Amino acid sequence: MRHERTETDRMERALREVFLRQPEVVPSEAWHAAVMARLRAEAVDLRPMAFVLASQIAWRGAILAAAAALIVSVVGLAKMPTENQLAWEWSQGVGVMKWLSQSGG
Amino acid sequence: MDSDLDIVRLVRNGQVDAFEVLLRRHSPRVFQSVGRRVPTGDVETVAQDVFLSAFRSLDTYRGRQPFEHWLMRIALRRCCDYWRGRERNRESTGPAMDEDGPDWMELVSRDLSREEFDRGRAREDAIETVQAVLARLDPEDRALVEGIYFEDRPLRELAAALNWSLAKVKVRAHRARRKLRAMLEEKTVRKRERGDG
Repeated sequence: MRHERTETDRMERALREVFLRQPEVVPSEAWHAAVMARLRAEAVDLRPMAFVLASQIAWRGAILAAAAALIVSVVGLAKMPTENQLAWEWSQGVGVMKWLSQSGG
Repeated sequence: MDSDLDIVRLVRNGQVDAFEVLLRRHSPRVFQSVGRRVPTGDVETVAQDVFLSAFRSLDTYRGRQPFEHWLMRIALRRCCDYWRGRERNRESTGPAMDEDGPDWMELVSRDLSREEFDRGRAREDAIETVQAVLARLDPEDRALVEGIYFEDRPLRELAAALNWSLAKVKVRAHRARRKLRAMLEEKTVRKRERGDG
């Protein structure tokens, strides 16, 4: 077992050595030219991409605002007093203010 | 000399040709990293993909980290994509760990000098076998083993490149290494059995 472990350690070290000693490929002049040609040909305009990013952010903001409004509405409806309670509280002059303050309005 | 961020700003403002400065400045490092991870014949293609991806997502570079680090993350992801693509095309196995083939480990562990190693066929055989061993790992596991255990890169860097949490990187790296060692142990046992028989 000990022998196996030592052997495995040795193999692992050897793997690392070989990995690090691989021949280096150097970028050629032709490669640089080809990449630049590709970039120009693609004519990727970064300004429309910025617009796409901005529109994504706007959409996410709108969805978040709608979700928040929905939560406030649901909470408001859940806390809404019954007609009798409202009538009684209304007669006491506190009903609407209390409901509004409870529902976050 | 303009900083990388200055050049990025120029490119964002529509001066596409300014990107060539970044390309020439960083291509040797990208080639070195990609060259260790993919077969020599595909290095140029993958390196080109790295720069095309960088160009397309230049708007997301905020300058909070050196441009080279940002680029190396893209390089790591493109290498994972490369191996995933090879897996899909059922080419991932590559050269087999040949039982009767050259004993690459002996060649390397004999403490050959770099020159000696570089000269002979030993290097080609050894590299081929290393690629075969690593090809048995998932692309991400492979990236972790290469990055953490072979190149001593920080865990945080790998976590950012793979968009994983630090804890996930630690767990996956540990498992990947265990998998690798299990493969090597299997080979050791087979080798000993052959020796005994």
